[in-house]
Amino acid sequence: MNQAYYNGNFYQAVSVTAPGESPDVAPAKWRKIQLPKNWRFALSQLTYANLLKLDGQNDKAMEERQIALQTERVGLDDLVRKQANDERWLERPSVRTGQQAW
Amino acid sequence: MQTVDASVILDDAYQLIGWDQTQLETRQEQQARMAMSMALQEMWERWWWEELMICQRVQFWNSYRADTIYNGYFTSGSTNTFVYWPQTDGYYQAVQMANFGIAPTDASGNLATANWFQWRACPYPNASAFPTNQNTLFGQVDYPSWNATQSYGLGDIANWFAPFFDDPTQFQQANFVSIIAANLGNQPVWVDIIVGDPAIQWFQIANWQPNVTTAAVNPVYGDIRSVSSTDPRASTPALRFHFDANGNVYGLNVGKPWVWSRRVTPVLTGDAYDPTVNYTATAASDLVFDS
Repeated sequence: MNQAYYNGNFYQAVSVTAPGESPDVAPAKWRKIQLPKNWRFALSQLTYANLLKLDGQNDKAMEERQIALQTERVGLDDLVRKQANDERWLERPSVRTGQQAW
Repeated sequence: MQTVDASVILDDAYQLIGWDQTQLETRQEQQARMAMSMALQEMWERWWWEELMICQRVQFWNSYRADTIYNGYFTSGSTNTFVYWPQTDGYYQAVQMANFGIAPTDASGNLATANWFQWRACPYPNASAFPTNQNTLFGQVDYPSWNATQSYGLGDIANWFAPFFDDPTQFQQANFVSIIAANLGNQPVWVDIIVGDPAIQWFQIANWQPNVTTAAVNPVYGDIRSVSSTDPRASTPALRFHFDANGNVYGLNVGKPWVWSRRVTPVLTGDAYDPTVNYTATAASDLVFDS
């Protein structure tokens, strides 16, 4: 195990910890997981939508999900404009190679 | 990249759903963490976010080392059979046992023939063989059938369907194989170049270096955007190679192509800190964001 939820945040151990060496006690052994700031709205809204779905409120979840993914809110518009005429991005489907637990 | 704490995201979500953070049940906290992890995965894979991608050159096998013993294909499951040889930007398979200190080629790029023929060059997979030839064994389909009227020299390769021998005193099973002219026991004979395991395809992603199994020291692959001859981010157009769902790459013309991929999608496991547990270290390269 190399990840822990502690005081509202997620931490990754960057060194082996001994029992009791929490992120507060041994901060050098942990790194707080940070997320892209420009995703704040989208991640909050998507998290909310996922919670609604878990609660069985599927219709409401769908609405909130659409709001979350409005492109101007997540920076996609800028990205699309930047990359629209760029041949590099016009590529074939990708190959999935697995996931990694943080 | 500017970042934000995960707690901020969770606080926002709690506000939106109307949960009092001071009154949360353990189950609600767990649900929220799971919901956020799912949200992160969706955003991560929604687009090719350039800041979250890795672009690097890879090779399919480790480079030749003069201090390593290489064993040829004669031994089933033998290791250290394939190498990358920077001098020619190519790959070679050992064809003798206990090869030690004999590099694949000389300074002119000619195959090493110290005493016996030591290596064979591995041709890149033939682009024209795709997609029907799923069982290609490192290019064997590229070779013509053996022809009794043709002269062959050391290192020539042909296809052959018949009993054959790789030792003057031993016959082996009939099979459709690729054969290579070699010297064994100082007699020129033909030997097979098949390792014996059809699953071995030297151009598979599983063999790439850096690879998934060395994630502790190298970035690991997420979804792959492209495999190309040159840096795909450069202004000069790069030659793209086709690759399939198994990570096989076709039509290569370089030994070390560029792979442009996402970082592996992170998963927030979200288990609460347990003061009785020894936590293991995360490799520095696996840390997606610097705080």
